[in-house]
Amino acid sequence: MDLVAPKKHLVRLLARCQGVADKRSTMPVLANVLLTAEGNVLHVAATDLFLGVRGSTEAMVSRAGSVAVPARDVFERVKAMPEGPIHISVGDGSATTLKAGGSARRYTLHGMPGSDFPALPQPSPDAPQIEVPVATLARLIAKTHFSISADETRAHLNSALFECLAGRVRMVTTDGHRLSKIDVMVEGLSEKSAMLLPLKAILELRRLCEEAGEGATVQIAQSGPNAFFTIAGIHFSVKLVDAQFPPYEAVIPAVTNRAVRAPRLALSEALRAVSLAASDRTGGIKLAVSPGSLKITSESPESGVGFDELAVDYTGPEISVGFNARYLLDVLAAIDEDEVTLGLSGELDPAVLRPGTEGAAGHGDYIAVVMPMRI
Amino acid sequence: MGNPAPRTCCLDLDTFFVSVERLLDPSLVGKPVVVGGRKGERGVVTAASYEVRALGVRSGMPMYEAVRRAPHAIFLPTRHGIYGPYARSVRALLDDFTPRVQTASIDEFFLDFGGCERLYHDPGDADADATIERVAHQMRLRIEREIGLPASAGIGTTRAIAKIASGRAKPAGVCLVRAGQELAFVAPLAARKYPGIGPVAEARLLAGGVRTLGELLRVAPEGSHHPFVGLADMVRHGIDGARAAALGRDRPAFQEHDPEGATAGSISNERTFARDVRDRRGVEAQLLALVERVCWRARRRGVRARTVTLKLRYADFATLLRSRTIPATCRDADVQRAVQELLARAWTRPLGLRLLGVALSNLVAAETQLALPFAAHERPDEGRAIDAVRERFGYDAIRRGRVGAGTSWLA
Repeated sequence: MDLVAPKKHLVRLLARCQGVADKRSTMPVLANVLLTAEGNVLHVAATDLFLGVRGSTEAMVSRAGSVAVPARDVFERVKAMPEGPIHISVGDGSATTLKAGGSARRYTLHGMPGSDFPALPQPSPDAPQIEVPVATLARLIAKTHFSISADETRAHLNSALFECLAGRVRMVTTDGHRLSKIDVMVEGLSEKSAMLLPLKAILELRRLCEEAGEGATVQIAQSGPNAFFTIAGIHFSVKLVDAQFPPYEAVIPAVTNRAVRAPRLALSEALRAVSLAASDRTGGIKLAVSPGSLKITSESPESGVGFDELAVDYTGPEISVGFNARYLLDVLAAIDEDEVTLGLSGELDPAVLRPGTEGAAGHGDYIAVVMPMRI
Repeated sequence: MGNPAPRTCCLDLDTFFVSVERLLDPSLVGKPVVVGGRKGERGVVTAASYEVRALGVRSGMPMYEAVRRAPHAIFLPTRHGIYGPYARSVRALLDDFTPRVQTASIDEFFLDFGGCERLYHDPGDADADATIERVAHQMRLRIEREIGLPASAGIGTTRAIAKIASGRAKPAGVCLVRAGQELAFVAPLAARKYPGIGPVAEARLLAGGVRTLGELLRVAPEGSHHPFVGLADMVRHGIDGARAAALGRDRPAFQEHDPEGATAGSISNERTFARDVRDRRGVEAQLLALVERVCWRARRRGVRARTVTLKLRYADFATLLRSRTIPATCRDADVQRAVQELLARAWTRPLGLRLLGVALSNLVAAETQLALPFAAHERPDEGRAIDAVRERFGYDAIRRGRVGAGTSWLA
């Protein structure tokens, strides 16, 4: 294999591979990226057997072929090269040499034959496909990713539910203590499907969306046990989680007895400040609402007492509910509107956070459910 | 400010169930009364009036034994649910006297008066002990006047001393054991009088020639290898007010919401049947009632249990204990499932059962972060709603459906 490719594109592709290549796998080849040169194109791919990522860049290929090289090593070395073209050549025993054009800088890496690299899944040509703006996928993820459980032993909670419904797409995540759900309208969508995307895939998709920029679109196809995302020329495949997502509709309260309207930033700041004094172990704080006022208290034997009070829009009986402050802060950070509505029922009932005020645009599209803490 | 002297008061409601029955039916006043079951029924005495105590009837005694000793007495069944509200009124009244009150059982309360001496000081009081003794009298009188129940109070530097003193104070009196007088107070008492020394230990002590607590402390000095040194040390520590004060330097004598205390020990309920139970449905209904009770108690204590134990006694008195460890829970359904499985494994002989018991142990503090109620059976509402009803109207105000069915053969 012998080729010359621009550093700028190589860095971008190798960067996308870093989150997917599995450096701790029992299969050493998975810690590599696969470089494949054919025609006038260089393909760069990585997989951990669950996620796969593949992208390409134009290259001057003088000899076609493939090689697998350590993902982090090649990324660091390419980054350290001066801007401009990079010459990549493979010698005996898959020894791979990187050489900067117009400079003496040079590296040699120990590679493996490209044929050792597992094949990435491909969608069948007739797989149903939808297309949505990248901004839509980014929005789905931004509003829900924080409530995915980090517990890998609970596959059904360690993933996000992605649903295509008539005219909209939806994402729902829950870690068993809280839940977030967002709907985004997509014109002309009639596809009905649902898939469970693992947390690792969501984090990768988030990066891909950030990089793709405004105005781009993403093609999404489901084929066999995999989903395929194409964003700005990068093909990303995900082995879907084979588990039952919890019946989320059942735990979203249809109504809450008491609605508190609060300024989002002020509430966020107060929560962050008071939670400084909350117990490290539980992060528990107490919200006490009374007409016109929201009092936030934290009390712990180790770290003393914290208190703040906020003017809110509320008329109703007094109620006091305990929460993990971080759960509320995560939701408030995911909301863009200046106001939030906090719906409370009893001190042990699920609480509901929505952006804006009732009836306002977008109010019904996003909902976060947070279970209280017994404090 | 110096550390307040330890001053624990044990308040005991005299012959509690009998006293309540007498409140409800004044014709019983002055008559020999036994609560626990009707004549000829199986069961144990839950309360006996002083008239029958004189004849040797004690609570915990089998019913037939009580009938033998006091055939002329009036025998009443234990009416669960009617006594609780009286106990709660007493508790509310006690809360007026000191912020630290602990409910030890339905008819026994511990109050911590440490540091309250100046609050209650009266120029007429000879010293701080006299102040607290006077307050205990007032407390006793208020319970009698406002609720109508006789009570006795024991005051001492430790819980054990206070408890023994409350026994000495009965009926309707106050007994104060001054700091430094503990040993002299307990020495002449029968070993059995010490809380924690039961019939088995007593038999061992008697076989070893030890009758009183004083003798026990003498024959097994601290650090010796005498076989009774364990019991003797328990008594020594339990009556050592000075040591209790040193250990409890920055602590009250006890705390109502002591998280470690809450998870210590176990929660158990058992029931002896009036007649042996043979049919599976009847046994299951009984178990459900016991499960309901222990789970409710666990929720009240804010704990969850990891170990569930089933106790089963056949008609021939053969007794089995079977345990299982499950994910920590305080939900009726989880405990019920574990108990059912234990029953299937344990009840293998074709014989009726005379006793069933359910115990929760290996207790852990209840999880503070609540979980989303995904599965319908995981919904917390039911247990909570039931607890809320009980909080206002008493335990028996609401019961699980199947418990009521087929209970007619109960004691």
